[in-house]
Amino acid sequence: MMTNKLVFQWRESVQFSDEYLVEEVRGGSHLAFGLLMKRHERLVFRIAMNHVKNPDNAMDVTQNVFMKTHQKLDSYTGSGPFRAWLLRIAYNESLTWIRRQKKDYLNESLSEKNTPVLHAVPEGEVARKEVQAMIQTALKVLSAKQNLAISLRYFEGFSLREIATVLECNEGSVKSILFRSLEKLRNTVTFQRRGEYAQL
Amino acid sequence: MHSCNDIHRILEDYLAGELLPSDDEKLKQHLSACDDCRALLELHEELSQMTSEASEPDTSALRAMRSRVLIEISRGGDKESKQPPGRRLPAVQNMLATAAILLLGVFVGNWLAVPQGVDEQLMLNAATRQAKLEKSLNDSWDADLSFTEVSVGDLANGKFRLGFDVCRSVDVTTSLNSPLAGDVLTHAILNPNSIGSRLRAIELAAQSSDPRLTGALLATLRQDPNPTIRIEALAALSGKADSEPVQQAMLAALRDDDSVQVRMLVLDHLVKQALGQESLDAIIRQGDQESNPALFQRARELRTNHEAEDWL
Repeated sequence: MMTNKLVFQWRESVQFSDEYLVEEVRGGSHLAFGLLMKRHERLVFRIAMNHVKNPDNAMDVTQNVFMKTHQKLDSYTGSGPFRAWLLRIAYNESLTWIRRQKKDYLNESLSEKNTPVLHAVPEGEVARKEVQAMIQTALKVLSAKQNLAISLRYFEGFSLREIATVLECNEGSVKSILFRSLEKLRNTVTFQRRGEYAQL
Repeated sequence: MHSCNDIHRILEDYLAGELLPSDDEKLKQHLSACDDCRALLELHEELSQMTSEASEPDTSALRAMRSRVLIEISRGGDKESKQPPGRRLPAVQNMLATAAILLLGVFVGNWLAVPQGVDEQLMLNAATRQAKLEKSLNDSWDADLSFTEVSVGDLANGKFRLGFDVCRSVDVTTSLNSPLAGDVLTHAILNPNSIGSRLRAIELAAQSSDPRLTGALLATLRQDPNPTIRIEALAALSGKADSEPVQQAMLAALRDDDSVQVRMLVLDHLVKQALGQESLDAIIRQGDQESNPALFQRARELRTNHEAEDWL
């Protein structure tokens, strides 16, 4: 009997695949879209944070990402993983936000209040001697695309194929982007170390 | 030695986790002589052990964001959004959204606070009403139904077979001897994944007269691999030792349990329950068959005490 299968326990989320939920959303289910949001919102937020560097702004970007995702869902073909497609939107929305901030910055007076925090390297952080802190600082010199590739690869555990879907390129290009990013990071860390030695 | 340019592809493969075995030696040779490339790989190793510095979002902020999006898309706002990106909904809309969530909370709260006497059919009805309630549930993700083990049959004449397990969180006030409590506590006792819930359920089962709970306790005493759980089940059953199945289970535990501690406690429990001479003899006979000297000694002591009491 069906009733014998009832399970009374706390559950964080359903076990449906993203692709199944996407079909449900296309059929008009807002419930399914809510579940998709709940499943991926932290990832989208982290990616947004990597670019906009401010929690409030990252939350705004996250909201825009999901609005746009719902709006564009018909264009998701299912040829790649949904979360990669979603992160493509997150990436584009983050860039749009950055561009808008830069434009506002140029149009407005250079008051401190309006100075964007993009790529700002906090004072004192460079002076930190831990290697990981140096790398964190060095990450800020990467381009948006390189930063995204490194974040997805090392912090989010994405496969090359998923990163390729997000960046809309082939896996060979992803390898190349990762390699160039690491070269850039290495050079920056080396530069930081030399700076430290010079201060000693 | 190969130059860095020569080794470029191999390094890319290595960083991508796709190094060919045939390139392994070539890479090692190059690294032994090239500080730059070695620094690159050290950086790769370091990054692999790092976590993102990006802060985690506030849960309530995420929840509010989710609500805003769902309200907006339910109004079709995402299809022709004039809202500039990067801006939250206006204050009035936020107030309306909050009011909607509060009203919804009352509704869903009432729905979830199932009164006493609720039966499983109500839970199932709730599942089938999911589509109807969907709009109202938009802001209550933490208390949602969820469906697992979905199986779908072929579509014919517009109909198809749909099978699923339905899960939902439920918070009810009920009596210990209600059928619902019996069901849930039985599940909890037999669920090996949650020791805390099991112990609490076993404790409650000791006070219940539901035969399913007694059955679950007996099964636990007989089969559970965790001696701590078996001991708790034994303690819960000690108040029901006048029942024949419980006595049989205790005797079986005395004979078969691989934990000396469990066997000793079984012996104590059986004696405390003032079993008849026949049962006590059975215990001692089992004790005689055991190779464990401590158990055998304890059985002898108990028999001596019992005989002394009879003589007095």
